[in-house]
Amino acid sequence: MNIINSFDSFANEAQKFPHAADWTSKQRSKDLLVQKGLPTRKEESWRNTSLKFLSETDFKPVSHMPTQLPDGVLSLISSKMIDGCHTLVFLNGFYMSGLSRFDVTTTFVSENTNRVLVFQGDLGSEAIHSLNELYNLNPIDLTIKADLTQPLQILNVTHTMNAGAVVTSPRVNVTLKSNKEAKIVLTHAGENQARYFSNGKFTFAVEKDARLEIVNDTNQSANSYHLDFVGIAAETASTVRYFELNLNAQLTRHEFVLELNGENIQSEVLGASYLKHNQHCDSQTYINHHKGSCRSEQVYKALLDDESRSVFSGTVFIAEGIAKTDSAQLNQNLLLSEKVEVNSKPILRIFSDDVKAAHGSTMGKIQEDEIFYLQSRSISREKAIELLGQGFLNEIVLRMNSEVLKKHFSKELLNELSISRKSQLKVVK
Amino acid sequence: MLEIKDLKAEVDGKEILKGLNLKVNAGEVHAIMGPNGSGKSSLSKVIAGHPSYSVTGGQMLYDINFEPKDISEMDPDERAKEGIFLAFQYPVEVPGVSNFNFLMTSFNSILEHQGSEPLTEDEFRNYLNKKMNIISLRPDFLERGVNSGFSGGEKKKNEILQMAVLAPRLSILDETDSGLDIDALKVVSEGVNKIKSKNNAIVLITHYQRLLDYIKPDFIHVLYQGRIVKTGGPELALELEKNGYDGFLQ
Repeated sequence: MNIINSFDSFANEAQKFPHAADWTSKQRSKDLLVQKGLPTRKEESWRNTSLKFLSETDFKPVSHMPTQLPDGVLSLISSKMIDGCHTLVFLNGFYMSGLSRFDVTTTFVSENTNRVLVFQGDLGSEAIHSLNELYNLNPIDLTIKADLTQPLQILNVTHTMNAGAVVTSPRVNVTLKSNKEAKIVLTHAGENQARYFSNGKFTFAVEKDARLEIVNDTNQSANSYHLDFVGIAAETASTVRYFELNLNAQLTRHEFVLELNGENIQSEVLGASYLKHNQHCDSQTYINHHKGSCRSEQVYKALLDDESRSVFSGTVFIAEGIAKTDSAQLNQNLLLSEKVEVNSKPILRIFSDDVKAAHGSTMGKIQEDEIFYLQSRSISREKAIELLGQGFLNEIVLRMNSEVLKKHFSKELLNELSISRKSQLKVVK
Repeated sequence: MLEIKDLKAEVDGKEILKGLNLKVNAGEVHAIMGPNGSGKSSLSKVIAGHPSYSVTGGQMLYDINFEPKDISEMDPDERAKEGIFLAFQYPVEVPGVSNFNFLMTSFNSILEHQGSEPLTEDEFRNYLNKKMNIISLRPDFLERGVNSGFSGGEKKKNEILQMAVLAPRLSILDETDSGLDIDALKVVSEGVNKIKSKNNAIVLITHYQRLLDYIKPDFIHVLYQGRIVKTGGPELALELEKNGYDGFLQ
């Protein structure tokens, strides 16, 4: 059974439970998917990423939460909570208020209001949105009405519940009220070694003068498949900083849309990926300047090992008749093996004259002089490569404003690199 | 401690060292001077084990466990673990890795090599704080990326801090004075003088006499066309300063 056809039995099962889902909208999404199908590599934006895993494994949608959680779920969740953060826990797409820890006075959580954000530009792949709509039963709206002193972690955990491969479709809409400040971490994690498909959708409305920093951390099971959509609609004089970290998943694809809907918005869109084995990671970004005097800076870095593949496609749209746009894009790839593959594509669609728009892409190996410097300080060649690789990606992490997050992700990065490189050495020996 | 005998080395097929002899004992300070392109920096890299250089003849005997051993085939990190330290003329920038982490990784590699337990972060911080005074650096210096965005002077100070932390037996300072203003030169030299002891040896590679006003050498060697052509005491530097290399070598 393919992922679209699973819908009918899922709907029968789910309707036995009191989900306040919009079944008409779901049926519409299903009809659309049946009619148009899932994206194929014939489509330009899917040229380098294949969804054939969806036909190879029968990913079952989760129709409800069991009354009793199997062993291991709670310890998995607590191991993924970041110290020093408020944490909202989502398990297989369901919001688990009892397992969450946060301060209700600063945040307002409500369910099922289905807020619609205004997106004028490219929204990424319609079929993937439909797929999220199909199997999401618990959309959550968050409104942040006060400055958050601690970061807010939205923890998306996938667990197979001993029932084979699953698909989970979390959906969260966040509104950051005018002049408020927040740091939000999207953590995507799951049961170790489990095979699952996570397809989340996360939207953010950043009101006038608000300051939002988001970290989108994909550190899933090595056998999992991860797609997500992150959409941000920013208003006048707001500040948006987005960090995408890719540390683990068999296949990852992000579709990221930033709508600059007002003037004087400062935005940074940053990515750091460490890819190994035959992992595949595809980042599609769309930054849409609809109003003038906005700045967007993009830096995406990938460290590639073994036979991994990285895809970066960055679209910058600058609308007609707007002035003083400042846009820069940089994609840097550091190759640790001869067998890796990198596809890097800038797409600049500029319809205005008063524009500064730079872009660049680099690919290269670690320089021998750098390795020698570290070796001359007693550090082995292998450890030197590990440190230089960490440093390359950590430059992105160090741009985070929160000390808590900086420390957490620097450590996560180093752990991931050191575990992976050590296991590789064993194989060679 | 180090005895180099008839050392020949090449880079990219070009012979740079053409039968060089040098003997350095514990407690000594040596200065190697010479005109541009004479092979001074190459010598320092060959001793430290830079992979671009290949030794094509002769020996580099260095005392390991009180026995002279030819280090030509050892990896650079193995040499460093045995106490050979090279202060770079152009220290490499490693953005994204903090100075603290770098120093701790480096220091613990040596401890592990010696069969000791590595220090914890707190233990190492205590040890490091004492060393920071030697070169008068501010604590925030440790949190910055290794040499990343450092001024020329800060880079050189960082090299001396590493030297202080790692406590090598043999230090080779490759043009550590280049690019330093007089104040920084003084700080760096004082640092080196504090590290100097009867158990370690220092080899200074320099173009100028100026550094030797601050760090007093026991021996001065003139390197020319890949060989040491003259060895003498401190007075040799003054002679070079007066007559220049051209006058001296004629």
